[in-house]
Amino acid sequence: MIALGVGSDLLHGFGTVLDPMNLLWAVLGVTLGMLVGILPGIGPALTIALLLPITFNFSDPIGAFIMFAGIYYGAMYGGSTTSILINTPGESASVATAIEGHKMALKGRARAALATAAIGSFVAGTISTVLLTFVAKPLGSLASNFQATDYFAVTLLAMVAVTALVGHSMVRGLLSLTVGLFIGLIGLDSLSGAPRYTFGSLRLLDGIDVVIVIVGLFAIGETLHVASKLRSTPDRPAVLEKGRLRTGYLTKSDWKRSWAPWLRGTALGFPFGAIPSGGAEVPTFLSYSIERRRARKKGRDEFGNGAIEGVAGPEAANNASFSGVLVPLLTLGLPTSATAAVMLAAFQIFNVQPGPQLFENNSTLVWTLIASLYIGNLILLIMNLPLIGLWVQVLKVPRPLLYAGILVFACLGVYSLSGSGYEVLMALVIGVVGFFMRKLDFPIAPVILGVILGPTMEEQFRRALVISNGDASVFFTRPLSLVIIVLTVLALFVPYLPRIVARLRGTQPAHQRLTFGEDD
Amino acid sequence: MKILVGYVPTAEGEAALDAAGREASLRGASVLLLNTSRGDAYIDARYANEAELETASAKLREHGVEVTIQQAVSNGDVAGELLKAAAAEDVGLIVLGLRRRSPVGKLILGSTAQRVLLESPVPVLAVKAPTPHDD
Amino acid sequence: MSATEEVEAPKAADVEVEASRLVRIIAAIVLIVLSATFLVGVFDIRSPKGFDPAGPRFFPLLVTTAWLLFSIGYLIEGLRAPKTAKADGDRSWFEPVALSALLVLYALLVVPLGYLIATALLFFAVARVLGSRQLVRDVVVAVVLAIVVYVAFTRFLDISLPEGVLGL
Repeated sequence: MIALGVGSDLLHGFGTVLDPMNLLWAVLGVTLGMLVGILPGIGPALTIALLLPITFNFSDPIGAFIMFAGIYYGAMYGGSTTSILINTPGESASVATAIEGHKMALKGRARAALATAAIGSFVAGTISTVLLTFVAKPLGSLASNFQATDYFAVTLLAMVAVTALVGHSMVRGLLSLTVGLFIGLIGLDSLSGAPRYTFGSLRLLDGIDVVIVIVGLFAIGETLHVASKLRSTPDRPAVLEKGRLRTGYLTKSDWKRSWAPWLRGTALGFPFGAIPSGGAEVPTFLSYSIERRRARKKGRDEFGNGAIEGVAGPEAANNASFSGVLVPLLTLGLPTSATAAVMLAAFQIFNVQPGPQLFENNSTLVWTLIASLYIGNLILLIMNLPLIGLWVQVLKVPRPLLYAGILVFACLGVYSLSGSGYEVLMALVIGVVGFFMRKLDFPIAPVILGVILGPTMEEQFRRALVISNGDASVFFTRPLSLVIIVLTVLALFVPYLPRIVARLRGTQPAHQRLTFGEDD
Repeated sequence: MKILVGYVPTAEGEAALDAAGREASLRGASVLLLNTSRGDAYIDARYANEAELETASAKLREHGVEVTIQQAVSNGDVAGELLKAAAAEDVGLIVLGLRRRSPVGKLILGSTAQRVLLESPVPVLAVKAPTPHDD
Repeated sequence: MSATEEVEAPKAADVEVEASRLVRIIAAIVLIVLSATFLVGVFDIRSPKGFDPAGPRFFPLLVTTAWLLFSIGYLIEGLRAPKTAKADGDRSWFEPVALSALLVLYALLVVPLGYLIATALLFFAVARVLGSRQLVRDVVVAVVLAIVVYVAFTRFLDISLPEGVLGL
């Protein structure tokens, strides 16, 4: 029954995506995503944020979301390309790829590394989208039983888990989170109408648009950061294999060594994406260490020297995690990574509220989005392998021009929100904050999650209290809420697990603290 | 005496290399091979990798001359880097490869070779790639 | 847990705290002052029910208190850090400050001057600040980019951008 219903919904979705105009948006999205995403330091979250204004006046959100799916895939694969070719991973999800991928490139196997990344992304993306297709609607109806206390608890879990797992210092992560929560407080209180932290400014009554925060923190902050290092430390340009890029696709043995890591990567990526754990960082690193361990057991230790498994696994996990991230985003309206937070902002621009009702109210939109994931994956595969040489040309553009262009687009995006220079100033202020956060090694993702989730969390918290007549025990008497709150507390301790385990065993810990990459 | 050759792994770079090798064996000089990147982009094919440098110096040794290799990232000023190297070492001749350019292309892009020609204290030998294909 | 312990291995090398200890301590003090100010600011929020958890004051109180506590934690982290922390080194302050100034100018001038002129000027100035030294190329790219963006957004994407003095 369910499968049949899903089938016809999805078919309908495909019908919409395959409209020539929508296909054009998908191709355009992949192209733009690739062009911007290939720049070092610029991940999918920023790419989508920078390209948001293109869709501001779309009459139909469907075209916009098809394009976003394309942008995401393009930007993600662009990040892998940079990691492999010049060893500057644009976001933490590509760090694992860079380790073996760049070694392969140095050995003249850049093309094989890019191919296993692209095909692995396609395989993982397709499988995980199938999983998303069948899991999303049932979970959506399950989520419709969620009450305010559950929402509060799960929002809290998402914020805390991401903060605890991503970045190097718990204190800095939590500071980032509280700053984000504070930015979310600015403006009129949605329940009582009281202005909060508006400092008498009429402009601040509406709060600070999340697009301004994202563009400011990521685009302007990153540009200022790059600018501060430009003069004194010019990067040694990494050398590209000449003529090798067009030949040397996967050999038979490459295929044999790649397919199992692809599947294992998918199996890690999807569930880790679906639970609030910060998106792709954790599964990519897990996939890397699992593949390395398996290779060692087989006595074939090429790891650290350009092992293709170390590219195939993490890349598959990276792509699969995106479909996973969409599960809580679509069914609960809960973003669990910076990229998902940007997607949520995009949904809100079009007045679409993700959550249990989404499948009822915007059925066409959801199924078109899911169908566009299949198509986006395919377009990525078709466009990237033959055209890789073209994308790489972007990296030959002198950096002063690249970053001047990024600032122009950042300004365009925030300017077109309301058509005044005021937004540009606001983004600059936030960009300066982002600059110092980079200098001081603060993670960025918790700020974004705080801004986006803070208001939701507060609203659900207060609604729950109103329903219970101010009885705070509601958060602990409802089993589901209680379980989630306990998980939240546990999440705070995960990074210290190695130390705790070591102390229990009475040995010295190997590492002080468990970390999974940096933020995106 | 030393001959300074500005080397890039392209056709005109190879031409410069050949010319430098011939001149050096004629004059009994050693060769200082300088490979520079402007360093303003993320990647630069003109910045030679180890294999390319190895091939280049082997080519020079075929002429029976001694080779020193220098690589530098020039912060956007390739000509300045060449002139600096020429001043620092006992250089008697600079050899450069020239790209074939239309007059208009030259106007827009400006030229490293032009600055070296104008400012070099020592003679400059400018050579073009043998076959007329642009890179 | 050994599977996850290994996870850290590839990451440890690229940990780089750029700022010196002094900068961190200054940052911590700024954070403490800010959060304390905002904590006091909670009392300025109009709330009929005072600090009732369901009212508008409770969350700000929670957030600013947490912010203050974490800032103090960060200060302690900074004070306990080894004094020989990696110095700020050869990082330059000129470019970030100059870029910020250019963005302020842009914000003020984009409407009166118009999108085309303001954007071309912004691009050109940013490229120069970032070290580009090819005058003709920079001007050409700045003008072409501004025109392409302007035409694409106003003609094809229906987003209005200021015409300014050119009146196009």
